[in-house]
Amino acid sequence: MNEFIVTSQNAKNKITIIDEKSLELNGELKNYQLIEISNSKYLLKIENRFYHIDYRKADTEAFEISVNNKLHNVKIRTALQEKAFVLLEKAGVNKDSESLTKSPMPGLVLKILKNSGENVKKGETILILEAMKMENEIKASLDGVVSNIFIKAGQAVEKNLNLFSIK
Amino acid sequence: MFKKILIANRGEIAVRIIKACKELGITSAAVYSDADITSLHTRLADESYHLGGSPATESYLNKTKILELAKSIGADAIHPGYGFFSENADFIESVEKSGITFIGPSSKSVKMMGSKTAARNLMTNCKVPVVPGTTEAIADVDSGIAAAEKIGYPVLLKAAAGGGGKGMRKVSSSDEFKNAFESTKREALKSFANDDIYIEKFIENPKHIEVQIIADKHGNYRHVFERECSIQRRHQKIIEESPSAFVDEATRRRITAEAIKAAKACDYFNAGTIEFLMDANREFYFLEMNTRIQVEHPVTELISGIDLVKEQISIAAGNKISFEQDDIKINGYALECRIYAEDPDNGFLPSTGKLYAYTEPNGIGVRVDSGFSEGSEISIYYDPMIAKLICYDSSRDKAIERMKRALDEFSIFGVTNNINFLKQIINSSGFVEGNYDINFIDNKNYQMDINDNVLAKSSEYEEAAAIFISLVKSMQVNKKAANSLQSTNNWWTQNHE
Repeated sequence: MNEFIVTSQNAKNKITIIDEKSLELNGELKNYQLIEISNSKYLLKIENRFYHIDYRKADTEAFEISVNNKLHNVKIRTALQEKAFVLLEKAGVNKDSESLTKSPMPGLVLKILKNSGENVKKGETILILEAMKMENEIKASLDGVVSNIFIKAGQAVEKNLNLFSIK
Repeated sequence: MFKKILIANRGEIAVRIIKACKELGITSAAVYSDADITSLHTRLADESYHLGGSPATESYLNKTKILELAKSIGADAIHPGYGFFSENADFIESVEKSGITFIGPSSKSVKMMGSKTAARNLMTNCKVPVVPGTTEAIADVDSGIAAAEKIGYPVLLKAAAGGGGKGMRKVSSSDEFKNAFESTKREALKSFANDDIYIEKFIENPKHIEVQIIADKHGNYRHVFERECSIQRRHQKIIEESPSAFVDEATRRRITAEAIKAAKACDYFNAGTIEFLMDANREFYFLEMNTRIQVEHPVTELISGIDLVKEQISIAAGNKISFEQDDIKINGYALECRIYAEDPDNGFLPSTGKLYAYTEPNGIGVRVDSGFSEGSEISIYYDPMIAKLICYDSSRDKAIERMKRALDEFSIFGVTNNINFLKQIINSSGFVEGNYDINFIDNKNYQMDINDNVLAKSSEYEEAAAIFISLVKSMQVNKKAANSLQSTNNWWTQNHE
C-alpha cells in the first residue's frame, strides 16, 4: 500500500515508503525526516539536504508543491491506481478528453478571434481579455478544434468562468 | 521641514516614502482602498485613512477626497509616488492652489513635458537630440524618398494617428519606399481613419538608457548618473541596472549633460528622469521625461549613496540639494529585478490571489522594497508588482551572482509569479555579457542557453516534491486505516486499501 507513482512535468517518480525514516526513490534507498511547521508548511530532509515546502491541493490527485520556492504541479496515484490509469490511457479513454479554459481573472472580453469548430494550434490566441488595464491574450492550451465558446465579445467575466473548450 | 505628509499612493512606493518620513521625524499619513486593507503601507504609516472602493477612480484617483483629507488631517505636503496622480498637472495645480506643498515638480513643468509632441519640440529648440524625422505628414512618394534619404536609411514609416505598434513599417532603401508608403497609408486609413504618414529614423536594436536628475527651487541642477532598463516585456521594464555596462565615460559625460539641459528647458525642480534610446554607436535620442520618482530609483541610490526620496522631501520644503555634483561618484554596481504577479509562460498574464507564503531574501548587499507580506492579497485593481529585489556589489558580475542567490531565496506561494523567468534571464549569456537591447525578451534571446545546473536542480526538486506528497498521502491513508480499525476493527480495509 505504501507505493506511489508521482507524475510531474518531466518525470514519473516511484516512491516506496518503508518506515518512518527510510524510503525508496525509484529503487534507491534514502533516509528522510519530515517536520510539520504549520498547516501547509513542512521541512523535508532527504539524506543530508533540507527542503522547505508549501503545498496546496488542486483536485483529488493533483497538488501544487513549492520546493525551495520552485513550484511543481504533481499528480499522485497509488501503484494500483497508476496501473489502471496506464491501461485506460493505452485504450485511448483519456485521450479524447476536452480541455476547458477558464478565465484566469475577472475582466472584459474584448475580442474573440476564433469560432467554434475552427482548428487551432497550441499557443494560438483564442480571445483577448482586458484586465488590470491591459489586453491579455488567452491562448489555446493544445492543438485541436474549438468545441465550445461560452462567452460573447463585450461580456464581463468573473474569475474561473468557463471561456472555451478545445477537443 | 514638513510636519505631516500625506502619501497619495499604495504598495511598495508608499512603504518607501513612509520609511523616509520616519527617518526624517515627519508624521506619515497613508491612504488605502478596500482592496488594500491587507497591504503593508496601511499598517506601517503613523495614520491610515480609508479612501473608498477598490477601483482607483473611487480611491487613489479621487482628487476631491484626497485633497479634502489632506486639509482635514493637517497635512502640509502630499507625496504622489509614481503612477496615479504623480504626473497629473491638473491635480498638481489643485494642490498648489490649496496651499499644501506638492512633493514633485511644478504643474507647469509637468505640462511642458506631458505631451510627447510638445516635449519633442521643446527638446529640438534647446538642441537635445531627438529621433530625427519629419514633423509634417509626407505629401507623396517622391518627397518621402527625399526626406528619407536626408534622414538616412533605415527609416520607420509611422501613422501620425497611430499607436500600439500598428501602422508602422521599416524601410531599408529607396527601392522599398513606394510599396511600403502605400501599404502603410492603407493600413493607417483602415485602423485610424487618417492616412497621414511621417518618417522617423529607425533605431536598430536600441538600448533604453535614462538619466536621474535632481534640481532644487534655487536653480541648482545635478545628475545622479544613468540607469539601463533595456530588459522589458510588454514595453515595461523588469530589470534595471546602474551604471550601464554599455555607457563609457565619454558617453556618460555627454548624456548627463543633455539630461540636465532637458530639465532646465522646463524649469524643473525635484527628482526626474530623462529617458533616451541609444543605438549601437552610442548615439542617443530623447524619448520622454518622467516628472516623478521612478520605480527603479533604488539602483541609483545604492551606487551613489543618495537617498532620493529624502532629497525629494527636502527640496519640496525649499532646501537646496544636499550635495555638489563633484561630491558623488559611481561606487559599485546595482541591479534590480521587479517581482510581478504574472505568468511568463502565458503571455505575462497578470495573476491574482493570496500570498500564502511570502519570505523575502536578505543578507549582505540585498535590498527588498515591497508593499505586501504573508497573507496579503494581490488584487486585479492595480499594477501586479509584488516587490523589487535590488542587489549591490563592487562589480556587475558579482552583483549578478548575488541576484541569482537572492532570487533563489525569494519564497512566494499562492500567486503565480515571474521569479523563475527572471532567473532564466539573469543566467543567460546574453544578459551576463551585456549583449542585449529592448527586444531581448520579445526575441526570446534568454532561451538560447538553458543552464545544465538549473536543470539538474529542477529534477532534484521534482524528486523532493514527489517524496513529500507520497509521505503526506501515506500519512492520510494510514490515519484513515487506523481510524477505521479502531471503530469497526475492519481488518479488510487495512489490508486491501
